[in-house]
Amino acid sequence: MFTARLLSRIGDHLAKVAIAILVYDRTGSTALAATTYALTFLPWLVGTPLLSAVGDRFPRRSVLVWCDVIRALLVLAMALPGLPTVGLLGLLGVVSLLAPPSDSTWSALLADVLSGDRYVVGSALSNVSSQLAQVVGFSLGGLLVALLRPRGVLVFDAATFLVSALLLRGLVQARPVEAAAHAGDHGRWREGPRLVAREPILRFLVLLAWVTAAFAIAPEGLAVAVVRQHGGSAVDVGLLTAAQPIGVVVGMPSLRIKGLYLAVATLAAQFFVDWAVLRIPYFTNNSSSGSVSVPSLSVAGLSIDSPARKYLFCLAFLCVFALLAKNLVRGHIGREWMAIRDMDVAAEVIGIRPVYAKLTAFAVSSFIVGVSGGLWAFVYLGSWEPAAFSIDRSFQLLFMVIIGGLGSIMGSFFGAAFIVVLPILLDNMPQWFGIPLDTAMASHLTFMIFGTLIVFFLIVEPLGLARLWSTAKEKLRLWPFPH
Amino acid sequence: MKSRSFAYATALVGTALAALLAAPGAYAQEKEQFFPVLPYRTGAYAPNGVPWANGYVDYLKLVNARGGINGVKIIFEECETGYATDRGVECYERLKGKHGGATLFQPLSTGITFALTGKAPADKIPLVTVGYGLSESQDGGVFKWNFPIAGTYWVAADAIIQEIGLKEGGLAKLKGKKIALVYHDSPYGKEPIALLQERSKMLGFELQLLPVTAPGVEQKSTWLQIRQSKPDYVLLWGWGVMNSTAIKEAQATGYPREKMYGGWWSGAEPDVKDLGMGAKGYNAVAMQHGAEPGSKVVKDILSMVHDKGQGTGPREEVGSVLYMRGAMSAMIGVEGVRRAQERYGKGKVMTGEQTRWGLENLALDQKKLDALGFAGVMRPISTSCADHMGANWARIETWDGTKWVFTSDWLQADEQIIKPMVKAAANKYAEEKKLTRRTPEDCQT
Repeated sequence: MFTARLLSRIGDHLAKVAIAILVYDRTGSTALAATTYALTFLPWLVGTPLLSAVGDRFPRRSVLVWCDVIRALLVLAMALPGLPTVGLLGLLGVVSLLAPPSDSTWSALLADVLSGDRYVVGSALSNVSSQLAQVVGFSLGGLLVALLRPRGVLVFDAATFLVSALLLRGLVQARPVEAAAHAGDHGRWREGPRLVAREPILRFLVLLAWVTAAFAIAPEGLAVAVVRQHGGSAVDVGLLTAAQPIGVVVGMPSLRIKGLYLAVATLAAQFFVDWAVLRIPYFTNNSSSGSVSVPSLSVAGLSIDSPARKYLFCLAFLCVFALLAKNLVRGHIGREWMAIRDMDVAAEVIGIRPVYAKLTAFAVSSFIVGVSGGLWAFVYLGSWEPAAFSIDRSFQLLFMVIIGGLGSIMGSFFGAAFIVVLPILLDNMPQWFGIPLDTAMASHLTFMIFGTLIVFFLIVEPLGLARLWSTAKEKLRLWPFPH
Repeated sequence: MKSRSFAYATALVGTALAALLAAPGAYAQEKEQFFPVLPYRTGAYAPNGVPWANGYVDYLKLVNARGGINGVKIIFEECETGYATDRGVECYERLKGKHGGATLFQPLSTGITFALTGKAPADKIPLVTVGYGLSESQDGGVFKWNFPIAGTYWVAADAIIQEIGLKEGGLAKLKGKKIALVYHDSPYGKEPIALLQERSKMLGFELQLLPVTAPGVEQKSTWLQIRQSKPDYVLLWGWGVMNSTAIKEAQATGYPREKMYGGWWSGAEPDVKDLGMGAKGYNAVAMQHGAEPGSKVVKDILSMVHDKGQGTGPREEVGSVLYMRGAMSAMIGVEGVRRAQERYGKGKVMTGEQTRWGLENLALDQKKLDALGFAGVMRPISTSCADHMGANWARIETWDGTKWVFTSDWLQADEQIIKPMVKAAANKYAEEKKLTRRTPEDCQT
């Protein structure tokens, strides 16, 4: 069962990459390529409420087998030469429409096949395998498209569907339909959306989830266009789309360790990335000097070259991310994180999944840090070599969070200001006060004062600058600004 | 009550802001040429950065003592970079607009040069990279604002290969030999690889590339590899603490120092002083000058700057290899401004654009150089629109246990090999950055 699903999932992702590349190469339109990508997700909206019940009405194994066979035939049809782009997109929509019933039936079948503890293990395994399928599917997708051409990959995808259907037919026992009071099901799917529409807080949450997903998935939709415009190959497209799931996969080994050991493990990742970027020329675009740079940045026709524009560009990102982070923390994911932080055993007892909480923490923080790293490197530095992201940079980030205040969004702002602005201020202060100081001496003094201040703040206020700020606010409310 | 405390608060904030803003605004219109200095006096590369910076600043003081550039005095300001790209960029942004605008920048770091190469054209400030920087920036048709005057890394590497060829009895004898390159794993260290690979293809020697992780204090495994593979020659492309560590390791593993050739940033006193006789026989390529304690410019600096108590750094350092390089770099910058004044007005303060023209039309013949005090130290430099390097001469110097002495004739890099490589690399850069090559009309301006 697992093999079948893994196979068909990998095939799915392979096809996504292949079709996106096919559409872009045919039409040269970024919008169409992105639409193709979106089409693979849209049917979930319609399919899940309407078609999932199919798994309850008919024998589950038959449903799965039929879904796979139909999808195989449709994918083969997509591989026919001479098919207009509209037809291609239409077929893709139908194929994606068959995915929700297949998935939900599969989950239901899993509950039938396994029971009790084994079901828990099976469910976890299925999560892992689905992420792995994404990584493998996307990366392989690029490679296979380069080798086989998009049509070849579509045929391959059809083959995986057929193999999965055969496996299910041959190796899984047939189980009869449960006699059930499913007659009243027709109207029930409407209850979900109605509930969401009624409660404003639920509406906001759903909107937030959509927006976050939009941000997360948008780059994948654009991946083909971006890579092609930069003269990249199909392999590059595959790798680009695999980036996100890779982050999750890399985060997984860290789930079993915590505290100091986790910090050390991530340190190992730092050295590995250092080595990889220096030694694998692909990461620096095969430049002979190992230095990376961008031609020029422009957003919607506006070129980002003057300091004011660069500042506003980064400020826009900052505002969006700060808002997202603040709301994420106040939402249920944020509360899960706080529960795990405070007492992970108790959190597990009340039903919070530690795996999920830790993985999402990793995923969100890696995403935000990745975006900020990209902005710093390309908007501020312009051209950089791997040494710009040495261990000192990682320590700087760590200290920004620790000094600013762990667990506080305001704290990260304070910490960043402290670490970035203070050395510059200290460097300039001798001039402002007219004291002639040798630059080496000024630099050394900066280090010493900076270090002393860090120690001072951690002793006086271990909870960081954010806590100092809120304490100051409270005291200021007593005097001299009572209100 | 509420409005009163609000008024107090506003008044406080207002005065603070006013004080902050007023202070820097005190600079009035000045008749001075601003030279920013971007040294590193701290960090792992400080031992080599300090003498260069002292030489640079001392030469600027000498020019002021001689009366300035046709009467225009020089003011300079240092900003510590620590060889870090981000601090270099921050220093650049801080200093580029001060004191009426920076005349030119000399970052003394290939990493910072890469970053500033993208920014300087937009701000119209020339980047002078005497003996370092991108090797392809020699091509002025693409790199309008970069000036790697007097030599680039391809020139240095080629000079070393030619010298090895001379030692072996002809370049043809290099066939089948093994040459190892121990290099700093950064854009600086990777620069000579392209030329060495080209020469390796041409002459048939085997090139072994051995990167050393920055800052280069851990080289035990590298030298173990060298001991196993026994190359005929080892080229050292290090900087700062990596140089002395390499020579120490060579001594420890018993590799003959006579077979080692360093780049011109790996052949200075700080690298070999501590080892003394242990580094005897170690060779390095010298970019025209070596240690020149007997030259006229050194005598002038000692009498007009150090004797007046204005010296930056210790007196014993004056005339050492890196000190001379700093002085030479400053001299080239000053002469660029002087040349610009010949066209745009003698005795006036030159802008960055005007200085760029001056640097592109440098014509320093031997007479001018001798008058400046560089007799026997430098050969003539003549830049043009197509060639921003101006000269491609080098010599080999050897450490005899106590000082550096020249042990070769003047070597000239083979332009037949370097020019096509420069053109190809510059074209690739232009393609990546979506730049167009300069037109001949643009060269005339």
